[in-house]
Amino acid sequence: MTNSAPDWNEIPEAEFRATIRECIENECPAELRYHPYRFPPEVTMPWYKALHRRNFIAPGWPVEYGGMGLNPSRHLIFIEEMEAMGTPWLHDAGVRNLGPAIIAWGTEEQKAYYLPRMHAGEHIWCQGYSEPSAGSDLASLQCDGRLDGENVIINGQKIWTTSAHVATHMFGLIRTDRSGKKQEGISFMLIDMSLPGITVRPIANLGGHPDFCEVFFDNVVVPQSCILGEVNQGWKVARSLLGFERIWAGSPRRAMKVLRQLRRELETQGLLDDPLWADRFAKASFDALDAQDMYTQFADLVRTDGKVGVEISALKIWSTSIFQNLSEMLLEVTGSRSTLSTSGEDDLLAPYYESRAPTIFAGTNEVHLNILARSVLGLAKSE
Amino acid sequence: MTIVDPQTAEMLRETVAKHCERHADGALIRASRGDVPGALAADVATMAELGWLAVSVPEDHGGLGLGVSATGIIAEGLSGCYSSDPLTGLFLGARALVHAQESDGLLAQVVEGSATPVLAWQENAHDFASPLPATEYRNGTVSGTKRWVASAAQASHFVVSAREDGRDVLVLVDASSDGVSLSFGTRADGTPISELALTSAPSTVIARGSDATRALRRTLDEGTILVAAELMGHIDRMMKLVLEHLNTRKQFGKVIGSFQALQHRASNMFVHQRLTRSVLTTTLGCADLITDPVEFGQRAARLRARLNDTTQLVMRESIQLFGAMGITDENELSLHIKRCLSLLGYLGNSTEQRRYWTALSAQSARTGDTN
Ligand SMILES: Cc1cc2nc3c(=O)[nH]c(=O)nc-3n(C[C@H](O)[C@H](O)[C@H](O)COP(=O)(O)OP(=O)(O)OC[C@H]3O[C@@H](n4cnc5c(N)ncnc54)[C@H](O)[C@@H]3O)c2cc1C
Repeated sequence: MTNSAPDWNEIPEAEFRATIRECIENECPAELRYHPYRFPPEVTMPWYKALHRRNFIAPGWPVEYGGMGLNPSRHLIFIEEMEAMGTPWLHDAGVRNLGPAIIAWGTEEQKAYYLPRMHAGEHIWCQGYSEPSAGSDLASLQCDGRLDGENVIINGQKIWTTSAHVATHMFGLIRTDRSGKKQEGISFMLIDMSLPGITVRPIANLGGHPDFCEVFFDNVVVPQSCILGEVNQGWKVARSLLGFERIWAGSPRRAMKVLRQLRRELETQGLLDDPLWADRFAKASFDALDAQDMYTQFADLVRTDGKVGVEISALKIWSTSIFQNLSEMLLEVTGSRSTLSTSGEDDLLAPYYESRAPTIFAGTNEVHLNILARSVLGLAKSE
Repeated sequence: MTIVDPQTAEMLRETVAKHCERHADGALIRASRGDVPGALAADVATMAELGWLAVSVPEDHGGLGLGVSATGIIAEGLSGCYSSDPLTGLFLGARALVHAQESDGLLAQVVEGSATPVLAWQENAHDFASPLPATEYRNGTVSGTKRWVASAAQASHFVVSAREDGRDVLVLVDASSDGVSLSFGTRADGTPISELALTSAPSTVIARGSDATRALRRTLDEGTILVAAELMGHIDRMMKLVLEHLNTRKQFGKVIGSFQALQHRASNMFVHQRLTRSVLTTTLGCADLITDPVEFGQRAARLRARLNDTTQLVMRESIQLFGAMGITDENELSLHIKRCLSLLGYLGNSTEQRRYWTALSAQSARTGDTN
């Protein structure tokens, strides 16, 4: 870890951008760039390691843990540069999602053990929340953890677990008590996937790629020291991550990527001079650029009061909806070419497939509409 | 030009809110429909007294040296009076003088309210791209017809866009001169909008050629931001009314706001409202500092298009969620709806904004960035 890193929030923006670009140019091989799907981790590992070496892998973490300590607007620039240069999508739920939770809730031992290993790419994490009968109603989850002395014995199933087929670890929600309200009695557990009794079955998605899985637990013995936060208090830990998850899910970066693709297509086909396409492109641009304004504003709010308010649901809904609209427009712009299944940079269907998911994960958009109605607009509980 | 600081912004917001508390008068607006000058949010003397006319005049002329960010706060707040008139009309006139770098002392009088120049630029329904006007300036006089002139009843002068040898020119015309005649039409909200006929009216040039083009363009872009700010105020107020209704109106033994179908519609309105608010705040927070005309124009166009679209959505959904009460004149909602209808097609509807943005993109295609 370098000691001489500058204060990334203070250096001029141009210099900040140039540093990131330099890193990508030197460390991220061309064959990894502009790939529409997620590579297996071993393919992207050299790039992951380079980010680790430079302390660029966890831009949002505090500097003391090997992060860059970026404020949200700098973080957005970081992502923007990464996206603009087509860097590959990583299996990074650990650094992105779990890291901040361990920093907030972990014991010193947990921090010392887990943080450096996920930073180095030695541990690859997946998120085990959803179950076959617990989707939007997550708190009804049933995957059973029986407390047994020093250990917890886990039996049950998780589903839709992204990256489980390549992960070394899972952070999961396990029911360790059934006596109280459904939100009580859940523990947030850090589970080693190599333990006996764990079976992973990949699920092919619409795009034909295994990206999420089913995970089965059959008498899996996990030490209680792997509980993050208190026993039965896992709902609190999970909830504290939701804000970050929603900002991440509400980031307009995915839509911006399609917008750039749309622009390239229209330019190559000479359609930008066609008033009809020009108008549609302007509308699409407004949708995405406005999302960027909204994202930046929420990010600034987080920076000033450190909290993500409930209004963040509006950002999640908007950014994910326009991602879909733009990806559908891409199919139209490309005419009959859009019917072909191809790969690589000109895979036109990839954005279509990809954009189906964010309206479902991180709280479905309908659930977010419910949240807004109740918590922001003050409407009565619906029957 | 500087951006309004948070304290001044807060002070403006409070003053406007207080003013609206005292002066909002729906009954007067309904009773004055079709009248000239019609119901106003405040008369010129009051606006001068409150300092609102000084806000966007440079300090050299005795103003506060702020710009559209500060005036935007006033326009938004005046939606509480159901209309910001004559703020926008007076703003456009004064800003045209500012951007044309008028220096004959007229701006100092604007601050006091003793001069009330109004901009007369538009000739046809789709002029937002500001084509070369048909109105012509020659040898000290100007002739032509200008339409959709807002607040003409209050005008002491008109800043008129015209052509001179195939190039843009901005001229100043005294409203009481020979050869100046006004006729009035009525907008959706019952307030007047004017046609200005100029027949060899005596006039003085205040900007020529590219200076005139640039000054007019900047003024129109600022005007469109100001209209956007007022629309935001109407959106918030319509949302408030409709939410109150959802929380009180009962059918099938429950408040209708407990029906999930309606909750989702209301939440969807909120998503747009919140998005729109973000774009407005971002724009007002940077607009006055932008000097590049392409960047400024694109910002303004994108903002205004968003405001127009969200306003339409909120109007449509509000009426629907009110049921039959939504289409009564007596409902307070109607005052906002009618005002919005008077604004949506003024200084550029969404399609015109997109066309303008596209033209600017083409202009800046060399650098490859979009704003
Ligand atoms: C690509 C992808 C990756 C994922 N990765 C992970 C992961 O790594 N780890 C993990 O734990 N989970 C993951 N998930 C699962 C995700 O969190 C769930 O899909 C999500 O919580 C919704 O649950 P469900 O799919 O069971 O849908 P359901 O909850 O069954 O919903 C079905 C439909 O009903 C609607 N609905 C449900 N309840 C309500 C209500 N109260 N009001 C109105 N409408 C309602 C929903 O909006 C939806 O349209 C992933 C999902 C996807 C698509």
